[in-house]
Amino acid sequence: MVLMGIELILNSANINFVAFARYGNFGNSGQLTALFVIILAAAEAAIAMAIVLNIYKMFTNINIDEIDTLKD
Amino acid sequence: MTVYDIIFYLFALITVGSAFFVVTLRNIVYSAFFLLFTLFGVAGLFVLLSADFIAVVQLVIYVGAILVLLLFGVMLTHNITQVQIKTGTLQIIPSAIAVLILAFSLIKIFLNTNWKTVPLTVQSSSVEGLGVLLLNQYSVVFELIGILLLIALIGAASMARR
Repeated sequence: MVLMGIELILNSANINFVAFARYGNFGNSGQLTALFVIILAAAEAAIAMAIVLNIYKMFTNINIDEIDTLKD
Repeated sequence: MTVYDIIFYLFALITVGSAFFVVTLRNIVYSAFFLLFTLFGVAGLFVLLSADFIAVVQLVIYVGAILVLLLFGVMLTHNITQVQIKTGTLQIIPSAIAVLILAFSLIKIFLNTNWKTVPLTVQSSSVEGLGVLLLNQYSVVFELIGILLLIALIGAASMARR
């Protein structure tokens, strides 16, 4: 759930980058920044999925309200 | 109201509407599927902004990779019978105040700024410009992001194996 929120935020930032690149006088830099943001989002999703799988192994649920220890 | 405007509002409606459902729905699988519509809407907006390469990358990476990864995680970590997740609304008053302040200041800035726009030119394709920029002006960032992806890959693999 939190991950989907992060993806939404990154997407909205991307829309801003591309829109300003279109209507401002910046050339293609904005589109390139959006590309970098997409790549960062991919890396972040991979790492986060690994963390989520580890958490599931430890707590057998992924409800973030009930996860309160880093180590057992 | 030209055709461009109508298509823009259609895509914006799809994006914002399904983003709302992503956040509010309680079944996490449904949220993931509404995220799909949001990502498609954003890709359509990119096409309208004549960022064709970004739109294709958005479709390939987000819809093809990230969303599949998210669904994979959801399916792996939930018994399908109890996919309901509790979305707590404990902090609703402070968050509402914060959102209102943020929205007010954003609208204020938006209305008070003297927006300068360049006359729109029809670009054929942005791929060539992006490639030139990527390998000249932004080559360091390009290398850095390659290294970062490699580190993320190794880290994710080693973390998932433990």
